[in-house]
Amino acid sequence: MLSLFNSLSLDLSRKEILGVVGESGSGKSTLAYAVTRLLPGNARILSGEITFDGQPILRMSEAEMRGVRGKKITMVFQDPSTSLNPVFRIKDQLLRIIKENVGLDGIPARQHAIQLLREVELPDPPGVMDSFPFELSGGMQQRVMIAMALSSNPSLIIADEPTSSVDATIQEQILHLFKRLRGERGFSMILITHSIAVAEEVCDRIAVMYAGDIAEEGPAHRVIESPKHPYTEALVRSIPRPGEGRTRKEDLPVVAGQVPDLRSPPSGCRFHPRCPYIMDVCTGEKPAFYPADGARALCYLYEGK
Amino acid sequence: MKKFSRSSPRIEAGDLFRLIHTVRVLSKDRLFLFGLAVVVCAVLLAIAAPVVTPYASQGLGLAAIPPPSCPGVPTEIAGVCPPTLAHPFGTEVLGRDLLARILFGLRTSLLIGLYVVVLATTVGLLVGLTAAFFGGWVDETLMRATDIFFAFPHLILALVIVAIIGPSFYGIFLALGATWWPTFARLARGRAAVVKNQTYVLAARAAGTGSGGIMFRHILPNSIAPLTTQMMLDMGGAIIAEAGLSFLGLGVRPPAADLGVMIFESEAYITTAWWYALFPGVFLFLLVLAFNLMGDKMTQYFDPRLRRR
Repeated sequence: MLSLFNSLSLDLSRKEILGVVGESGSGKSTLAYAVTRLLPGNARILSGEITFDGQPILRMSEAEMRGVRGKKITMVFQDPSTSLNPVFRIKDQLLRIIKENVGLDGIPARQHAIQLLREVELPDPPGVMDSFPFELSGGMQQRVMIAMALSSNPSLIIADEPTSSVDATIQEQILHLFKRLRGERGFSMILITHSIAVAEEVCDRIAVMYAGDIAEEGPAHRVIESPKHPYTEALVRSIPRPGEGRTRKEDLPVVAGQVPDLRSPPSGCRFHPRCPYIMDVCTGEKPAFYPADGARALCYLYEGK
Repeated sequence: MKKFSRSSPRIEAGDLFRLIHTVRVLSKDRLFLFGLAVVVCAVLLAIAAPVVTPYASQGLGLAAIPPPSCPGVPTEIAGVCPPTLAHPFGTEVLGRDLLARILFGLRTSLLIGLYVVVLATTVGLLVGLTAAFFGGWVDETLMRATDIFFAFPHLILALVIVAIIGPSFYGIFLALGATWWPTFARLARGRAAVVKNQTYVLAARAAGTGSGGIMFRHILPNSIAPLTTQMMLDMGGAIIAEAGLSFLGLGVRPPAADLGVMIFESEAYITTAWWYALFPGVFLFLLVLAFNLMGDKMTQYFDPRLRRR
């Protein structure tokens, strides 16, 4: 038995892109699966609420949930090469999803599919439709996944590390695609990433997660330009930036230490063993959220400010 | 022509493609091709049996009435005549043409093999997929039941079942099918347990696909390919088991033509009529060998660890 999230609250407005940033094991993906109720069988949500469009997601029946999952909330996954069923052609998978979630069939469905593939900037949509997943490159596969996620015109897209397994050029293209589509279609988006640089590029707001907690949350530019939480500060410093005049011998700053083992989390603030500003109070009680310059941080440094 | 450039086919992309790749490699393998050729010939001969041979497989043979003119053969084996131009494989105890009996016997063998494998695969897939899909106590119950079936040797269990439902084509089909499914159940469960945790299954659930869709469109099609080699090997196994049971009198009953029955009938003439036991035996041997060769070669190329080069 392992309790993951202790203090976690997030809000997402319409048309907003929220970046959830954190190291491996900080609970970013678990958060995403909780929202769509796709947590593995051994996970239990003991308390808390998830409200989507005024509906309490955690109190919905599985049947009601299926009306949300894939229709109003869709997901894009990390590794596009394993996200598509290898034995079916793209058209079979795309048309099936359109049939199930949009209710279109036959020629209208095909037109819709081609339109979607065009929207995600895939060349030769009919050719892509007739391909098997393994015939497409990683970037193309990810675009197909995005087209599937768009098919039902959802109000929320959860993208779980959508660019972690594609190269830098494709990453750039896909991030721009998300931004453009958000502008055109007006969906909200949760972008889960381990890269604060990726989050900076597309997100309106950023939530930094650490060991199952939200360490800091605020408007993207604020979080990046003046990080409040010591963890965010360390993360931001670790972004390599050109023209910083760093000499070759100087190492890029890193966050020292390891993510704590959540089976025996540190007392008090979970970041205190790695924190450069550690105070006596940090090891005792867990800190609360304190507002700090338009953002909020889970850190005693901002208590009473 | 597709306008975009295709990335090189990734073999790990899916079982189906590994299978296609395997078939491509196998089409250059001589032993596999030999097996394939034998099986194809056997199937064609079995289908075309009435066209290939002018003789009937059942009833009294022409050689029996009037008593055959085969000099040198003792009268007590009147119907058994050595190969002649009219009867290239000779005739058997009731004077029927041995070739005709063999060709119709091939039908029995192939049909039994096919039925048994299809039944075993279906049951095995159902049990294995259900176990993997639901997990927990469903998995435990189903797999422990499978273990119980595994504890008995195929033939012993089949003997018991035939003894209960009685010897006939369908008796033997049910008996063998009932003893053959556990292998498939285990294979299917193992494979499905892997497929179940693939991202595309999660992605499908995230896209709102229900349990049925997940099972039949995602887990099932991706779990079948590894079973194909087992199906090949088990065709041979089921054919020889059927012949064995029929030989013991627990399978297909006379007058139906069957290789096992023919070998049993030839027992009394083993010292006097060499052709009687030899030809059915050779056909049975070739057929089983062919299936085993195909199965072995498929396993070999399908499993990269066994692949040479």
